[in-house]
Amino acid sequence: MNSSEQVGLAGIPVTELASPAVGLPAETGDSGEPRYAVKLALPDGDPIGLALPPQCQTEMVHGVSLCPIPNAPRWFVGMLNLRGNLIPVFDVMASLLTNAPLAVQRAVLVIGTGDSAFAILIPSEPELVFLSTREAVPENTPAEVRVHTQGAYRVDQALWLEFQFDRWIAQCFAGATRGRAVRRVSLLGT
Amino acid sequence: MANVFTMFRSIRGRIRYGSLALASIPVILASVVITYLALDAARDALEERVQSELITLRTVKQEAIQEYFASLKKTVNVLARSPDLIRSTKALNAAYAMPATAPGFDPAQARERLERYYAGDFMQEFGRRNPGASVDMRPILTQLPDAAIALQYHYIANNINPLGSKNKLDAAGDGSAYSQAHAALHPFIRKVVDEFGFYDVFIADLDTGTVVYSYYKELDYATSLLNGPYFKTLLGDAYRAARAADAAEFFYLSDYAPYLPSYEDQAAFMSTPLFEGDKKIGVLLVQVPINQINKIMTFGGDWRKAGLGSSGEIYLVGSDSTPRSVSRFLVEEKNAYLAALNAAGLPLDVQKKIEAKNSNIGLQLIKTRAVADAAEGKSGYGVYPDYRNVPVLGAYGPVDVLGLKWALLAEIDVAEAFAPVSQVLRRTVIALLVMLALVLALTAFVATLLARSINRPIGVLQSTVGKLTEGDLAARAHLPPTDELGELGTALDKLLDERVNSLAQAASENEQLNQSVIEIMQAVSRLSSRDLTVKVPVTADITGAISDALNLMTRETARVLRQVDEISAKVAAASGKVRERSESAMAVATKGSREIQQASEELNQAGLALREIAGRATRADQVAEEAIRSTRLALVSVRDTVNGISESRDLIRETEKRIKRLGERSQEITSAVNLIGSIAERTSLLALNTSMQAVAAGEAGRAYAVVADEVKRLAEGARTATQQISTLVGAIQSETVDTVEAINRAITQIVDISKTAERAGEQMRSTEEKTDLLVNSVRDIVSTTEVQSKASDVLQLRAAQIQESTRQTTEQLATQADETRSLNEYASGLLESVRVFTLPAQ
Repeated sequence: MNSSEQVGLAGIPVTELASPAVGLPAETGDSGEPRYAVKLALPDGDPIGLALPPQCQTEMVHGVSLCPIPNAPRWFVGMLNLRGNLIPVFDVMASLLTNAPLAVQRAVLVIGTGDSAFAILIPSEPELVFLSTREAVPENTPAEVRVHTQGAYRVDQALWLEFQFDRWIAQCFAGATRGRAVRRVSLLGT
Repeated sequence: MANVFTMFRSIRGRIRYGSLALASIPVILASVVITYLALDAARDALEERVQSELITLRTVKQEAIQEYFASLKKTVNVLARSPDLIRSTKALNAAYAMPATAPGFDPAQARERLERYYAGDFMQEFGRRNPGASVDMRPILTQLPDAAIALQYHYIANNINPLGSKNKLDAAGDGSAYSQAHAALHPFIRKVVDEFGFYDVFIADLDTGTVVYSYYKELDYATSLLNGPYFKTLLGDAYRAARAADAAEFFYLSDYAPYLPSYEDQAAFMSTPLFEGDKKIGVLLVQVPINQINKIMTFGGDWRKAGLGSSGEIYLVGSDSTPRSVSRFLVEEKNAYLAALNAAGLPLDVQKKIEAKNSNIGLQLIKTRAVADAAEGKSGYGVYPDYRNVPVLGAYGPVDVLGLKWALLAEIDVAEAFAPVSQVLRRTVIALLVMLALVLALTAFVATLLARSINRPIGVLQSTVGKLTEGDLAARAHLPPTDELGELGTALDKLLDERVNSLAQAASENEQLNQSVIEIMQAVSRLSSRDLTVKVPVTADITGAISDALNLMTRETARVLRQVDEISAKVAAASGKVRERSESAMAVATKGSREIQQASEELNQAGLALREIAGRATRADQVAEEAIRSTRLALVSVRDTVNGISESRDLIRETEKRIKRLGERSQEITSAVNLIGSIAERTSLLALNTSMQAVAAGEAGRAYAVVADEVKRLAEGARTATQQISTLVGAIQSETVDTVEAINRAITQIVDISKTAERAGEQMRSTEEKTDLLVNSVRDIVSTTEVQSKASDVLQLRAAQIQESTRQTTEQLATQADETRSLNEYASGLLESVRVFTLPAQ
């Protein structure tokens, strides 16, 4: 470390603290927008990377216990009780591709907060990637995924799709009617 | 316009011009609305009044024209009953042919003279009244009989009075009976014409249709209305109608039409038969005076006095859609009228005729809506374009003039009818402008005062804000709270005071937060260097939770590592004890082995002695005694060996128990390590979620992303160390199991050796007994030498087996000692791994 290099906390150089491998990119760098992304598995086993929506709160939860919903579509995996909040859990690939097997992992990624929050099954932890130049969605991307995608980013030969989760949710529930609260009735009396 | 928008950008401009707009717009709108309503009401009232007047005038004139023609009819009827007229008619009928036969009259000369008159005076006047038109009068003149020639010659061509005044001649100077009759009648007719305003008066013979008398002496004079040149004129029609009548009251009125003898001017004729008693003797014809009709319809040329202003008029239109009375505009504004006709598309020759005749009667075709309605017998009122194509207010209706279906129209230009409205509008606009100017001036004055009262405090506020912008945090408005802006200034001062305090507090909190982050980073750095004694100060800000989590993780990790350290130390101590026991067992085993070796050798020697006994019977007792002693020594040795083996077995069992307890302890280590791994896993997940939240927060979450990543790195380090510890503990457990199995095998061997030694002891006791028997029965020694020798061989074999078992036990113990040493080394390695962490004091 030369004398001109600034020293940060606990003697760690500032450059190391601000390096992309540690946290957000340096302000003067042009490595792109820091985003978290997840890798899901296509039916043929190939991974497909989806960038999570920007400026949207996300939370990964391990070892969750899901409550299945009777008569729900198979991609509607169940409901998750997250600190008292009921959050629907979906399988993205099963909802888009009819031949996709249901994911068996029990790690979910909660996207959003409040009533608009939902969760998806993920096979691995989200990755921090730095997205810079948007390009067209490759032709070999499944059409069911491409309709919800608005571009793609290539980072170190890995492809990350700008997946529109809100549009996907809207299409999943297109034509569905809003539920009503059912009065609780007991055989022993109301 | 740009300046207006610029002025509206400031509050001063908005107040000033807004006030002006607020004051002027209602005034303008109210004025416009009131003006519109007033004008509309005035227009309606005016139109109603004009309509009423026009209808009144129309009705009055309808009655007037009908009364006029009724009076004409009466006059004509009265005139037809005049005895003088009857007498003169008879005389004229009888004498009208006499002038042509009078002596000295030259018909040819008269015809020639007439021809000059026709071609001269008449055609000159005809050309003046009909520009561009011509007529050949020679055929007319040619067909006239000599009687007609003679009368026209005497009373027209040879009349010294100029054209248009031929009526002044009472009698020609030919001295004929006709002239006498003419002279008797003519003054009477002159009075009648002057009195009633007739255009002309005719008397026609009943038999020949000859016009025997004409007051004005136009060219129809003396011609026949039955076969003469004017047979097909309205005069001829009127004559024939009256000639055919049987009643004296018969009256006929023709419509207007161009009439050649009157220079193609419009002429209408009345006729009635002349009766002398019951005998019809002739026909009286009167040319209707057009001037009288015009006089009635034009109010004598004074339309203004009749209330028709400068554009109102009343006129008649015949069934042929041409006027029967003259146009006011032709009379008053001839050029403008002609220009309007030209613009309306009237043929040029008709325009010239109108100009020449100064009359549009019978010439101008009028096809307006009002004329059409009136021709259909409808009366009405409306606004429509007149024959000049100028909008007029008009009242129209049919008028029955003695059987003639005419239309009467009373019209006035819309512009003039509503001129008062326009005048009111002009005055209203002027008054509005004056009032608007006054309102604007007053509003401008008040708006200036208002803007000044508002702009001064605003200026103070602007100045205060400007000072604040330049960094003068002590700047305040200090406005008196007398109004809303004063209260705003006071509130601004208060807000600035609070804001400055808040900024100072925020700076302090920010400094504190930075300090907390620095302390966390320093603690994380020390944690990274495996110093678990660090305690991150827990502050009340948002970093407190992170510090608390770090402290919890550090404390739990240190506690577990301390447990690992303690357990590792106990494992090392237990391993040392096991090694010592193993070494003791090895020493005992070595000693046993040596004693067994010695016993074996001694047994060998006993065998040799027995053989020597057999050979040396003499020294049997000594040898037997020596054998007894040796056997007893061997028995002691065997018993010592058995006891040593039993002690070794107990030690090995104790070692097995300790190793099993070590395995159980290592399982506790596994539980603790799993707990550490779970904490590390949860810490890693917490760090991941914090990092995702920080990325979602963007620039604001940069510092937390750094901290979260450090925490994640630390958690991964802890997880890696935990995995290493798990691997080591797994290896310890595996080695422990192997050691327990080896110890079990050694115990089995030792049990076998012990059983063998016990059997050797039993054999030795049996040998002792037999030796005792040998001593007691020395004599039986020789006989039993062979038996003794075999028993000695057996003993040697057993001793060899014991020696082999002892050797194997020694080897097992050596292996156990090696494994115990390895266990001790593993425990030391575990201690070294754990002691890498700097743990807090108990």
